Formats: sequence, structure tokens, C-alpha cells
Amino acid sequence: MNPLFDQAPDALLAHLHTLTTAERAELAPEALRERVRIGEATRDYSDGKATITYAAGTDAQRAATRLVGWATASAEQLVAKRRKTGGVSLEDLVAIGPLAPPWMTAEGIDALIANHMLEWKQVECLVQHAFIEWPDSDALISSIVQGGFRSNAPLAEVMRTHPIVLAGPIYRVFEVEGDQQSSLASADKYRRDENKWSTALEALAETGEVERDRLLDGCLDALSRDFAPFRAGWYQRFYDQLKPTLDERKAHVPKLMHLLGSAVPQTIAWTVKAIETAFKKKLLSSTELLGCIEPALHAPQKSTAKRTLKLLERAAKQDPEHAVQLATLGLELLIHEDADLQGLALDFADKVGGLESAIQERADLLVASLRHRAAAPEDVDLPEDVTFAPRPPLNPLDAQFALTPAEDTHQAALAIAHALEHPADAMGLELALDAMARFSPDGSWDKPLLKRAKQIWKRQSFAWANPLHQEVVRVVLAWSTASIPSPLREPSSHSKALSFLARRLDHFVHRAAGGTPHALLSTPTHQTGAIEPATFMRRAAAQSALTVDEDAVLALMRLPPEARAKARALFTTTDPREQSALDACVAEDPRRFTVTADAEKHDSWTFYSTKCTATPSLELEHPLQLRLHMGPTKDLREQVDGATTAWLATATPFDLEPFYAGAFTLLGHHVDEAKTAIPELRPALHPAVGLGGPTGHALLCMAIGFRSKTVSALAADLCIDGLEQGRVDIDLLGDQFAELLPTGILHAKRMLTTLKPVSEASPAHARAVIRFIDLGLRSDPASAPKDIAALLDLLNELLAQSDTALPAHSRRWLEACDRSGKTRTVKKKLLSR
Amino acid sequence: MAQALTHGYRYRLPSVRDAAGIHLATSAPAGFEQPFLEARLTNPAAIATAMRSVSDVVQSRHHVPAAMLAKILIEADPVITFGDGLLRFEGFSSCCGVYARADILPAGLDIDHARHGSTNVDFNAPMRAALAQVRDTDTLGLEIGSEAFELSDSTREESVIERKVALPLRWLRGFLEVQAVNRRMTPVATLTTAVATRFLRSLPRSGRSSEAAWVVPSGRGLRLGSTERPGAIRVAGLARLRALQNNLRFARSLRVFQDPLTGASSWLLEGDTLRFNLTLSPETWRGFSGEGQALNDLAKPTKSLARVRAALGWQAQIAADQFEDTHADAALALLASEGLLGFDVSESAYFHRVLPFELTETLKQLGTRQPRLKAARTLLEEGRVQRQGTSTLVDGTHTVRLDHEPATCTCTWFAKHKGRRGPCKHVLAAEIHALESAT
Repeated sequence: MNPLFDQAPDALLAHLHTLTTAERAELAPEALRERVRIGEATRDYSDGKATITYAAGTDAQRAATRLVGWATASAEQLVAKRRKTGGVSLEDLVAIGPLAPPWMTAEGIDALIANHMLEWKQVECLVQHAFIEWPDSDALISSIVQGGFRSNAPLAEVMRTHPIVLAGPIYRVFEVEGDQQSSLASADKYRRDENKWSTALEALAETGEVERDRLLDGCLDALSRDFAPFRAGWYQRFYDQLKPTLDERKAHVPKLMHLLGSAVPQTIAWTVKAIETAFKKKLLSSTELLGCIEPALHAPQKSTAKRTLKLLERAAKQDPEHAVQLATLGLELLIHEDADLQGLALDFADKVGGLESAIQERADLLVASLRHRAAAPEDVDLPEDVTFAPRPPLNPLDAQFALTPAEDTHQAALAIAHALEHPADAMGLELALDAMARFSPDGSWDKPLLKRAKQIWKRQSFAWANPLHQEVVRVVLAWSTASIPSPLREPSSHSKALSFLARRLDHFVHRAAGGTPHALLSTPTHQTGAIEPATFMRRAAAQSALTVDEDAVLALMRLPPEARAKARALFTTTDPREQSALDACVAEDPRRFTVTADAEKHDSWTFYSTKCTATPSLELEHPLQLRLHMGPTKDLREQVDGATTAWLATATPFDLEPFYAGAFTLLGHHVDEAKTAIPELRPALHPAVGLGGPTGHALLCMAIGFRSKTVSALAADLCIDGLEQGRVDIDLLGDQFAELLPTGILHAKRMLTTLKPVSEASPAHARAVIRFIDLGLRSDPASAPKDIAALLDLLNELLAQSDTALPAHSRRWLEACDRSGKTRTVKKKLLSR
Repeated sequence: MAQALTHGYRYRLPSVRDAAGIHLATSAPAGFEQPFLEARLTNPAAIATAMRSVSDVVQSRHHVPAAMLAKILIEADPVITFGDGLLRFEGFSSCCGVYARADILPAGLDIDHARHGSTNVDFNAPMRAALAQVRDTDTLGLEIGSEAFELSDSTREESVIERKVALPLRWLRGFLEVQAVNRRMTPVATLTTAVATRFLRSLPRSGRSSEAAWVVPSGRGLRLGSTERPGAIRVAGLARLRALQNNLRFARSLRVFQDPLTGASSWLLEGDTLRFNLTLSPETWRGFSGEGQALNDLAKPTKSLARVRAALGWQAQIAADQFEDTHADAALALLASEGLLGFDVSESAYFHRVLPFELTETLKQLGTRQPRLKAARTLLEEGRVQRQGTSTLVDGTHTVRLDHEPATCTCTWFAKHKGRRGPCKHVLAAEIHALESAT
């Protein structure tokens, strides 16, 4: 070790003063390295307190290396060794301050604070001794805000003991937004009043220890920086807490006017209130109001827009000379698609008068129920009417959905490579299996596939993230190398559905490894998973002996119902369980599912019950009974990954009722969670996949009322396309709605997110939505959700748009409804139609 | 560490404030004493909002690449270009997945003095705060020098100065790729401001930013959909559209364009005095700098380079169809790789951008040294490309079929991206081989 580090601190400092800056900088790496080396320690907690034993060096050497390190290193060097360098005491800082270490710059201090190597009190010490000016560091401010004044005494008193902070950086707390831990809003959230920043700053402003004007200005400047709403809220509250005087408000009017253009809706709402106060106190003229208020009319919050309009009305009353301009500006509110707001804007315009042409110009923005208030409502450009010709859903075996199997090794390689990279593509997997069954590897064209499969196999974690992927890669490895890799994840840990698929692939693996892969019976011929009967018969004829296994069962399920009996007859088995499995595949409705709304809720989240009635003779437990395991049974209560869900939808393309019923089982406990999706509805986006009976429609109904906008978008797509293509039965959907509405599981406002875009797709869709709402209103009005007015509002708009009378169910429901408030208002409008 | 072009600058004088106002120091190398634009803004609030939005985009990040420190991505700042009366502010988000450009049209500028030029500026916090406070009633002057950007407000006696900072190389790559994507874009929807406002308000405020959704034209507006359909626009990370919101107030219409190959979309707000363009990459995790959309063009021989470069010398804008010969695309791509060209979807034309620094030879070859292109040339040089009937065998194992659209390859890259992220090295090698065999 350098003998320098054996010197006493005073001698060491004296020596450092004799060196040039460059010479001191040369010492830094060695000092830090030694500090790290002799700082290595073991801690023993056996006797209840920590006993630290160092591997090398003395305490004096540790102190010396630390001192030299801090006196000579740059911030970058210190940060690089931050875990072992150790902190620096205030005494050491005072000692090394005159040496102006390289880290003692604004950027350096910022980096050290950000890495928790320096605290604001140490910076304060440096400033006090005039080694540095207060650095322009956001990290320093965050450090002060985050609890730099921790004490039991009131915060104001503690702050008084730091006068140089009050003279300088205290005002920068209005410039730094901070984060979840270090903002003024988060610091004040859980503190007692006397320890809150707002209380302390107010107290200090009262005594003149901090400048009140700078605090008020600071609040407004902070708001102009568009901080996150939660953090911006602190500045709004603090400004109000300071109770600005009339003169102060007057001086702040220009800044407030700027704040109306804020990107934060909450800031606009607060500013409108402040502007309103200023206007009432005559600190702002109508002309000034006209010049600045427009952004507030565009504010997304309805209450802000409404308050702004009231302000315009007040201004028009006070200053009739500008009334026309003010009312014209008020028409900006028509941008809001809300009948109430639009009505208020039109009322104001009507009151002022002479704005007919301005309203007509904006007539296309008016909601249907207010369109008559435009001078020439017939000139509004409306979507073209369409009607849905009743038609049956497309056949899953329609020629347009036919799959194209690989025709040569190039296409086979493309199909297998695709399956390796996109395991969630169910049809991609099937085409890859088909390619492997028909094209033999020769060590040439399959070489890149083997290389890639090996690469993926090495990343063993993938098997847990996506078990289906493991199975796919395993098949490729077996096919290409003629050896069977052990599974990375035990098939017993799979869900029932994935186990079935895994066993099917396992059979293929064994055949492929044996070099005798043959075309699978169950390879689909169409995108939906369906198999053309003639193709099936050809495949069956090509096999020497048909065995009852997963491939056979899946093939039977993928055949159209009318072809299953003939196909079933090809299989002979004496095992009663295998017979039962085959019979279940060809049986019509082996299980029936009913979803019933519950008046008595199960628990806080589950509002319905699912029942399953099974055919007794098919109840035998057997792994092949995939069809019987689908649905609301305990077998599928386990979460099935997305890729397997997508594949499962192709297992029974002609009967998805059990598949949809399975979704209910999983949905029960997550229905109110914003991020929950309903992956079981995604396959229904295919034009040949129907929603089937009541279970599928009930699931769609749930999706319509989902909180997640992603699910809403999915439901809107299904409704729009399904109605056009005859896959959604609006009467059946309405029946399910009537069942579910009294349970309280569906919130009317959430349903608007889906129903509105559906109604806007075309007039025919709008009529379907009217029918849907009308059918839903057959339930008891007393049990309807609290926000039912939102749905009634939509009904009112759609009836106005289509110029139709109130349907019978809705009329009866409204007549029996004795709700007050908004519901009563809409009820009146509807009953007067 | 991310590579960046650091462009040094010196201040001749410190900034001072005296009774006459604020004097901002600019570092002025020889020949650059005069600013290249001195003008007053005719629609200050709209222009300030658009400039701030570009800055917002530049400071935003929608994806943090794995194993990459956030800090290395935060150095970029908008580029300003002036030419033919049009002032463009452009920049990429830190993740390079969003490209924003505000074009201030001639009607938005009352010009005192101007000459063509580009610079790379730092929108610091005080500048952003100053922009947020601009209103239409303000009288706003704009002075852009080669080394500084000054926004002065005569009514408030305040001013903020910008500094030049590093221009990362990923921006150069981004400029190349974004023009290639924009060039393929086709219009898919045109909306009035009111309808656009309603649509943007309907977007979810929370949710995973990487989530992909489909925006579907429906009735007179747009709605969110969940699956591909004719006319639908794929948008990954709907939060990326937020930059449009503040500018809607000043626009007349919103036009939406989409690249049918990659699914990238471009959202163009058009007003009387400015246009605001937001181009989104197909996925939040796909920055434009990492795409390979221009590779096909870069692989072609650049016979027309001299002619196209000469045309650039005197034109601020070049129509996309101005050069009819087949070699022009390669020349345009090469120039774009040097950051010299951008593509304006609203005009369907290239615009000329002169980067404010000398590119080294290495940087000039940024496009042609793109790793995939370089690898393809190596395969060719080593004779590992063989034509076999309708297919081409590359590297001994990969078969490439050029007669498919897009060309197919049996490699992992193709299996993953299906040509949507540009061709793989094998396809490029086969294409160059075919071109060379034909000539």
C-alpha cells in the first residue's frame, strides 16, 4: 500500500495541498481501489449486534483512503465505486473543500446525490463555507423535499435553522416536479399538518422569512410546466391556501390566462375557477376573457366545460356589447358529444340571438336529439342507411377459408420456421406438423430449422412462459434429429387442454423420431380448424390401422356434425373408456351449459352461476375426453395460456358453446379488473366462427360492459361484424342483457364505450342497439344500475336519429321507474317521444 | 454507449440582460454571424404549441430496450430546417419509435431575413415553459441562427436561448428509415377537427403503452377496433398519439396515412399556418433507426447519384416522381442515409435538409454500412450465393425465393418478421446477385 495512506489526516491534507490538481487526480484511482480492498468486511450478527471484521488494513488507513478518494476523485469515479467508497463526513468536507475536488461541480453534485452518496445537508455545508454556490441540481431539490428536514418539531421551525436554504433553493421546489417519492404532493400526503410543506411555507411567508410573492408566482409557474395531475394538485391547493389578495390576484391574471391552455385537465379546471373569481372581482374584462377562454371550452371534463360556459353567460350579462362574440365562442362546446352541454350552449346562443348561421355551420356536430335546433337540419350529412339481409353464418368449411399446405421443401421450411417463432398461431402449428409429416429432413433444407430449435431449447425459461412453445420446439428437434428430447416442463403441470395437445404432439414426436411420421388425421383443412370430410376419409384410408388416440378424437371433433357418425364407425375398440371418448365426440350436446344471473350475489365479484348438465353415459373419466373437459368444470379453472386458448378454439369449430362456457369460469373472479381480457372471444372475430347459443351471447354481453377499453373494442368489432354477417343474434343478445342487467355486474356508462361506436357504424346498427337496450329494459327497474341514465340517454339519441317511437318494453320500464335526478330527466324526454 | 455526433460550439459573449432587453450569446464560427431566419410568427400560440409538442415527443420514451441504460437515450434534440419559406422542426422520441415534425407554413411567418439552413437545438425547460405561455395576442419574434434559437416576446421582455447538443447516430438512421416508410404511405382517413377531437378523447388514458389496437374508420369518424380489417390502422401504444391532442385546437383537419407493408402510420394535422405530423413505428419497441425499409433501395446501384445530388443543390423540395429512372430510388436512399432528405406525406415530396455539420466518411457510409447490407455483400464476396432454378441458395442452407411477394427466406429473421422489417441479409444477397447477373 502507498505509504501516503499511513499518514495522519492533517499530514495527508497538508501533502495534498502541495500537489497540483493533475497530481491529485492521479492519486484518485489508487485511493479508491485501496479503499475498496481494505473496506471488504464480514458481518457477524450472532450475538444480536453486528460485529464487523475487515480482511485487511487498519481503521486509520480506511479513513485515509476515503479522505484521499473524496479529495481527488471525479463524481464519475466515485459513483463507479459507490458501494465500497463510503460516505463523507461534514468534517472531511470542510477539510477537503479548499482543494476543490473534481466532483465539486453542479453536475458532479447532481450525480452524487442521485446515487445517494451525498445529501443536501452536506451540500449546505459546502455552501456555508463558501466552497461552492448552490448548484442548479434537480436531485438536490428532490433530496430536500423527500425528507431533508425530518424532525419531530414542526417543519417551519426546523427550516428556520437552515437560513441559507430559505434564501436560495427553497424556491426551486416550484421548479422540480420530483417523482413518486420526492414530490411535494407525495411528501405532504401522509404528514401531520404541522409537518407539511404547505403549512411550513405558509407560516414562513407570514413572517416574511420566505417571499410570499415568489411562492404564489412559483405555484403558477409550476402549473404552467404541466406536471403530472397528482403533483400539480399540490401547487393548486397551496395557491388557494395562501389566499391571494385582490391585488395579488390582479397581478396573476395574465399567468392564469396562460394556464387555461394547460395540457393537464385538472389544471384547466382549477384555472377556470380562479378566472371565474377574478372575473367576479372585476379583475378581468370580457374582452380579455374572450381572448383566453377558448381552450377551457375544449377541456375534456364536462364540469369544466359547463363552468366555462356559465362564465361566458355571466360575462355576456355584464357586458351585452360582447354577448354575440361570447355566445359564438360558447358554441365551441358543441365539440362535446353530450346532449346536456350542447343544449346549454344552444340555449345561450338562442338567448343572445342572431347566431342561427353559426349554429348551422356546426350542425353536423349536434347530437341527434338537438339537431332540430339547427336552421336546416336536413342539410346535415348523415351516414348512409344500410340494412342487414338475414343470412346464415358462413360455413367453417367455406372454400375462402381453405388452408394451403406446403407443396415443396421451401414452403415446408417456411411453415416450420413460422411455428417456431409464432407458437400462438394455432393454424401455423397445424401446418408445420403437416409439413413435418410429409417432408423428410435430409440435413440440408432443415439445417437452419434445427439450429433455431436448438437455440430456443437452450433458453429453458421459455418452457414456463409458454408451454405450448416447448412442445413445438420439441417436435422440431425430434423430427430433425430422430431423437426424443426430454420435456423441459413436466406435462403433468399442464392444463387439461394443453395436456391433450401435448400428448397429441408426443405421439407425433415418437413417430417422427422413429422416422415414420405420417399425415395426421386431425390436421385442419380450413382456418377455423374444421376438416373436410372427404379429406378425412382419404387420410383414414391411407393409414394401415386406426388407433383411438388424441389425433383420432381431435379429428372427429373437427369434422362437421353430420359427418362424425360415419367417421366414428371407422374406429373399433373394446375399451369402454375409449368408446365413451369417441361417443362424446359425435354426441349432440354431450353437455349443456346455462349461465344464470343471480339475484343473490355469490360474493362481491361473481354475479351469475354457470350450470352444466351432462349426458350420464359419457361421464367416464378419460384423458381423451377433451370435449367433456371443456366448459365450466373444475378442470379448466386453471388459467390456460393465450396460445393454448387460441388452439382450443380450433378443437371444436362447429360447437364453441363449451369453449365460451369455459371463459365464464375464468371470468368470475376478474370481471371488474380493468386489464382483464376475454381471450375466448377473439376467435369469434373470424367470419366463419359463430357465437352460437346463449353462452356465447352472454359472454359478448359481459364484454360490452367491460371496463377495459381493449375488451370494449373487441366487443364493438364483434357486434358490428357479427350483426352484418348474421353471427350475432340481437334478440338473443338482448335476452342475455335482460338477465344480466339486474345483477349490477354491467355498468351503463361502461356499456356506452361499446354501444356508441356500434350505433355509429350505420343506421341499421343503430336500430340493433335500440333493440338491444329495449330488450334489456324488461327487467325490474328497481334493480337497474345507478347509472342507467347514460344508457337511456343513448336510447333517446338513437330514437331521435332514426325518428322512431319509444319501443314497448322501454315504455313500460320507464313508466314503472321511479328514479329521480338525471334518470327522471331522460325518462321525461323519452316518454314524450 | 450510443454513438452521437457531438458538435462543439463557443460563446463569444455571455448572455446579458440590460435596460434594452435580453442579449443572448451565440457561438458564431466564421460566416455564420447572421441568423438564417428572423421573423415574426403570425399565429404564435399554434406554432408555440406545435414546437412544444415536437419537444414533448423528443423527450418521451415509449419503450426502454432491455439491457440499455435510459440515460444514453436522452441526448437528442429537435432539428430545425428552413427552406422555401417553410420552417420545419423535427425530431424522434428517445426510443426512436415516434417521429414528430411541425412545418410552419409561409403564412405563419412574417420574414425579415432568411436563408436556407438547418440546425440542431436544445429545447430546455425554460424554453418549454416559455412556449407554454405563448398566446395568440402575443407578438412573437423568432430568430434562428446557425448556433442558437431565440424566442423573444416583446410584451413580456422575456427570452430563452437554446444550445446545440449532440445528434445521435440513431437519428441519422431514423431520418433514413422514416422517409422510406413515409414514401410508401397511403391516405386512409380524413377527419374534421371536431371528429378527431372526439376520437382522441375516447382513447384509453391508462393501459400498457405497448398494447396494439386497430383504429377503424366508422361512420363519420374513427373508433377503436381489435382486429385487422380493410381500412383499419394499426396503432401500437395509443399513448403515442397524445402529442396530437394539444395541436387539434389549431388545426382544420386530421389526415391519417398508413404504410401497408409495415403498418407504420402517419397522423397529419393541417392548419392555415402550420402542419403537425406524427409518424408512429409499427410497434413501440421498434424504433425507426432499427428498421431496414430502405435496404432494397440502398442495395441497388447508385448511378443517378450525381444528378440527384445536383438537383438537391438548388431545390428545397423534390417531387417523389421527379426522377423517373429506376436508379433514382437508390440515389435518394443514399442521400437520405446522410440525413439530406426527408419525405413530406402531405406534399408527397422530398424536402432538402442540410445537416449543420460535416459528416465524416464513415458517417456518409452509414446507409451502405447497414449491418444487413454489409453482411449481404460479404456473402456475395465469399461466393456463398448460388442460383438454383427458381430459388437461390444462400450460405449453403437458406433458400430464397425472389418470385414471391415479399421475397421469402427460410431464415429465422424472415420467420419472425415476414419482410415487414425490411429484407434479411439472405434476400438482400440474392437480390444483389440477381441484379448483377442481369447486368
